[in-house]
Amino acid sequence: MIPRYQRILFWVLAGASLVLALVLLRGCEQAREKLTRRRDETPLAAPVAAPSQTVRLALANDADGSIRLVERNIALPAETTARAHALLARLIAEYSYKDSAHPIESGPAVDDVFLLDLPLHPPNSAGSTTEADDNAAAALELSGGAQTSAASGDLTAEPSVPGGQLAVVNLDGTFADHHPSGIGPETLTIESIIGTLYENFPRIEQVRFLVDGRPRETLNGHADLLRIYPVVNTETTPAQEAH
Amino acid sequence: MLVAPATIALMLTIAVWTLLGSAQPQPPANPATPHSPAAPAIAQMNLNLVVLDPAHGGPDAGAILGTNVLEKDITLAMAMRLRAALGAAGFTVVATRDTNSDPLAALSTDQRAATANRTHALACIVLHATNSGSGVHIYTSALPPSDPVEDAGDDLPPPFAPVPWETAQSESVEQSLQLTSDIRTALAAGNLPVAIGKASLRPLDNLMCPAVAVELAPLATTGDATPVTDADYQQRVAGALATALQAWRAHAVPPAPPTQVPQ
Repeated sequence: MIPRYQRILFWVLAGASLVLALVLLRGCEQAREKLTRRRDETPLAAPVAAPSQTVRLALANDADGSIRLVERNIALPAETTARAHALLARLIAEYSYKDSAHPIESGPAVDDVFLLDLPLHPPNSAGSTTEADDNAAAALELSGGAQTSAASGDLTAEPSVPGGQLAVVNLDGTFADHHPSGIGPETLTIESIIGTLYENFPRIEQVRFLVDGRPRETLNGHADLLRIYPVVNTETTPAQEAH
Repeated sequence: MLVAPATIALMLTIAVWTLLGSAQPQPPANPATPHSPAAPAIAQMNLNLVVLDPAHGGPDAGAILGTNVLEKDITLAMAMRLRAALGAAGFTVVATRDTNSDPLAALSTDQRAATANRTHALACIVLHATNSGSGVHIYTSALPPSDPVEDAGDDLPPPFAPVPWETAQSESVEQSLQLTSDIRTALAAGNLPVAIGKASLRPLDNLMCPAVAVELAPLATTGDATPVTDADYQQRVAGALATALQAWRAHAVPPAPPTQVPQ
């Protein structure tokens, strides 16, 4: 014969276990919803005042090493620099989706984008008294001057088309540190950015990358960030495979 | 007192000898290879020397390829296997780092390129490893090839043109593409998947020899992928690369002059 107090204790403990299990289940659901909500918030929210327009993004695919162009209907600021910044942020956000062909961790990737008219004047050139000239001189200095300009073009030479510009893309240090490491993934990210600028900003002729405002040798151990890249069409077909 | 006149006489003799030597007619340039970017470079190559650059090293671990698997260790292991395979094929190998000098492995990419450029090697192989993709990825420099040197005349050497450090590989891009073709053929013959691409990569862009970056990725042919740590997989790749470099050496050797038939 089981004493009454033991039966009461048993049912109390059983009930407590059931309540605890329900609480744990609810907690797990809340945690999952929280993570899902954060992932859904990754793409930029559309500015309220800006009209939607069609842009072309050069999206990378790790599986075949290709870059393909896709169209997106998004709202962007009217001012060119802010527009370039928002477009590149949107491009990187595409890679943070769960089914991305070129997965990159979500988070801020592009801190700033600066557009500078070419040709740039050296810091000691006569007449560089305006603020624009000072900014250009600072950018030239950050770019490593003549050393890096030799990599793919002379920043002090006349642009190939009137009004040609240099884009200085300042990447976030956390983004660079957590970018998938390897020649392929890093090169594809660079080519994706270059291709997107080429498709949407016809005046941009060259692009220079900084990380946290400073020159950095590589994106994450491989792709060269010290050279100045020509802004060209980077759309490619799948890489050649042999077996 | 007799030392000074003797010294002057010796110097005069050397000067006259030098002038007579420079006045000798120079052999005409080979009409089959008129100052193409490849021709003078091959003539200066050490045809039995290969430079290996196992990327990263020291405090630079490279990519993290798994639990306790670092890219710098994989590249070093590949370099050791490739060094042995190349040695068996009669090559002399210069590596920018090895196990015994790992504390010195913190060489910058510029220092590695300088080491390679001093050797005038037949080929420079930069070794990397990754978890992305499958098989072996071969990258050549994304730099455009340099323009051919203009012929300055029959008796005059080509004009001196300094080579910019940042674009040094431009001179050898065409040769690097030919080397890539040989490597691709050898890897395909060994049933190893190959992907070809171009990349802006240091020290690849700074090398003055035919140069490629070889990136080892997991082998995913059927079923489970073979990891880059697999010794057999590494050995297969090293063997195929050694075969490719033998083929490249055979292509790079200039053809023997035709035998003169006595009249």
